[in-house]
Amino acid sequence: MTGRRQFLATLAAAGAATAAPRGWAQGTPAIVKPGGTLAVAIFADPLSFDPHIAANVQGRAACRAIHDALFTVDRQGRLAPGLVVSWTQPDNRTFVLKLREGVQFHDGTPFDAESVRYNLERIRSGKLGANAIRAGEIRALDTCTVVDAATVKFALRYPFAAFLFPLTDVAGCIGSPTAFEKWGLDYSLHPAGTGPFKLAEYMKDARTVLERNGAYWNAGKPHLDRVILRPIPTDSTRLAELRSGGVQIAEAMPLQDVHRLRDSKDIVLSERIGFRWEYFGFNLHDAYPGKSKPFRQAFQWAIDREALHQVAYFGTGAIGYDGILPGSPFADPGYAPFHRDLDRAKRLIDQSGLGRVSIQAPLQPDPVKQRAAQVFQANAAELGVSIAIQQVDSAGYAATLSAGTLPIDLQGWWGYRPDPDQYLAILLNSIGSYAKYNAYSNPAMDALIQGEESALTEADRRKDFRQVADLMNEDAVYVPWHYSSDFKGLSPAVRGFYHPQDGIIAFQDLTLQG
Amino acid sequence: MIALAGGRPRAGRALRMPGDALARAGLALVVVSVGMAVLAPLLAPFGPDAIDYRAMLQGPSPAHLLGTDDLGRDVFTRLLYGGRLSLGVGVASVVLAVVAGVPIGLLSGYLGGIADEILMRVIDSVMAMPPLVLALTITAVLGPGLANAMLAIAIVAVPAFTRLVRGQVLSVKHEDYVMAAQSVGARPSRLVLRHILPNAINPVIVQAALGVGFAMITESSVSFIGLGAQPPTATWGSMVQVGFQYLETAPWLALAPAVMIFLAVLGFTMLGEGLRGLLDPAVRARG
Repeated sequence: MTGRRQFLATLAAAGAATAAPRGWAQGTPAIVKPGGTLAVAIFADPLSFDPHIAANVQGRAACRAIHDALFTVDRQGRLAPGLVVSWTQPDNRTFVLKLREGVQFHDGTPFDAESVRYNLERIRSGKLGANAIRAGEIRALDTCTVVDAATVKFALRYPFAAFLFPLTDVAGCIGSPTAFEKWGLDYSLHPAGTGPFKLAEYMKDARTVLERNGAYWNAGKPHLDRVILRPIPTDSTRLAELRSGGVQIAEAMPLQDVHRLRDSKDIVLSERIGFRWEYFGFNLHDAYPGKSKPFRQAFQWAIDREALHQVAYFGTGAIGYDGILPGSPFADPGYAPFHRDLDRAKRLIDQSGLGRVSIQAPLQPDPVKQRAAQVFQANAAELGVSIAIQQVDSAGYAATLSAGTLPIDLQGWWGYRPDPDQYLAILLNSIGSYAKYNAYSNPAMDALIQGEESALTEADRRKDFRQVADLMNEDAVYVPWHYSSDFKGLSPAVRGFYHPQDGIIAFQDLTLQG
Repeated sequence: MIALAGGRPRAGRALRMPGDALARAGLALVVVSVGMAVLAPLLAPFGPDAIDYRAMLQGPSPAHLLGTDDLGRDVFTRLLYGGRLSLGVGVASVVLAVVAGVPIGLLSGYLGGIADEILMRVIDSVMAMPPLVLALTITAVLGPGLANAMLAIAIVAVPAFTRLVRGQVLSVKHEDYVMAAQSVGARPSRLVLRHILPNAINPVIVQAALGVGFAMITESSVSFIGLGAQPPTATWGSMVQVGFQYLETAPWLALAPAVMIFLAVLGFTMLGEGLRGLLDPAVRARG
């Protein structure tokens, strides 16, 4: 199994699938057969097609089929052209972007530098009110200047090496200024991007129909006439639809079925590791035992990461010791500073001087997190620490977390972002929201974060991120334990498939055979 | 042994369980379920929360009679320990409901008038809501946990006992023997406790037996949606919840606790129906 998993991961990483066995769905045939309708089982409704508002992964995926982003991420995890064809960084606070020319929005408005400026200003203008969820991603932007019709210049408030990375996702998706003006917040249902597909029909919780944009700038694409996204929240129903041919792609395949599906003859299972990373988080407020550093550190040595890997994720994904996801240019596959050592953990607990400890642990009823939490609970019990799990709904969990009253975070995770700064700064920098929730503030960490944000080369940032990981583990406010995988099930008829690390499929590359 | 109806004037009402096959079969199921739960520490081959990730989701085998769950825990063991809580919550919530519901019914029926009106309208408003929805709402408001679930189930079950007892009180309070006691100057408390209650209690016993079944199903439902027992504590309902995710790959996980819920509820229901046959003169007359 491991061999096959590595094989699939390699395929996904290299995108070189043509030599794979039995008509492997990732292969691109020599002659592309255009046309056809692809149905995709997604697990939640996209809810919004406004890229500046869309929040869930399904909404982001639909927005990115309708809109092009300024940048893309290449298969090595680095920044690559999108609507921006080339860029320079004259100094650590300035970026100059050369835009793709001759591109039109779905409503006929030409794409130019002004539309880029318009979109970024809209994100941070306050026009979106409480929906302005992407404003934080471009907080570093001071001014966006139109140099000429095909050139824009970003001036930053402070040096920020990772600034361009959020622009690979919805924050960088450019919509037609004409359509934004016409529809206002209703743009959500009347999107006009430059992307390969147009929104043809939307029925909430039933289907989203995307139709081919015949005037797409990337000649020859998309190949499909139509993509239908069907929200199906139940794992087994998504799988049944895929088996019966009702859909050709199903996302979020149930983990417990993964081993069985790998042996399936009529379904191709694709795994991409590094979809998200998991940690157990401690609250450092005085009211909670997490205030003691030795107490927190004890868990680095006490938790059974192998058991967590097997139980919570059925042996899929990989054990992880830091927040740098596999697939990132900053990842270090050999980084494993801990092994299970209960004696050492017990000594640290003694050192903490806290005596017998009992912690309330609010937890959402997510099966993966429930399993992980119970392993953690058993490991903690070996240290004499009692964990009382209390199942709460997602709103209750989020409210407790953001109020700074979550004693311990047993379901901590962060989804893939192309640059680790996009979440590590939030978790570790003392001005980051999660750092505030957990009362974590370490000037040495702030300096390291500032260092990687102002560094100009990838090599310098790699060194900085290693130090960030080391200090994060030393302070143990977060105890990392896993990198999980994204699983998609495909019909063998699907061709041209590449499994990106963020799990968002480029539908324009797909074809259907047979 | 069920001769709780002391003071009932009609003669020849000795309760003979062996005479009623339904009650006997129900009792047998109840005794087996309770016996398994009580003897759990002696019968269970493993600890109820002992995780073994090398033995996850294994099918039934000599080592694990009912297989293992998604954390490699022995399902048979958890079934035994889960029964302690499921049955315990079922019985305890009915006891609570009886303790609260019977006095209200006695008062309401005996006092009559405006007190009866007020109490009955309150009881009606509770009965107007679907019991499961009400139990879930109360548990959600009180906070997740088995104790709160038990309280919620008790609250939901109170009206049935109140209504029942009130009806009984109304039907017996004008009986000759009550009137006779009243005429010789018996105090109201004596009248209610010595003369009315003993003659109104038989349907309560039947309802209690039936109510345990309802309470167990409700506890299972509350635990199924995560508001009852909290991990790693096993109840049959929480075990079905976990098993539900693995219906295709490991059906025993949901099946084993579901069968136990079925058998225990069936047992209590048969016992209740059997008792009704033994205790209810109308049924006896027909039978």
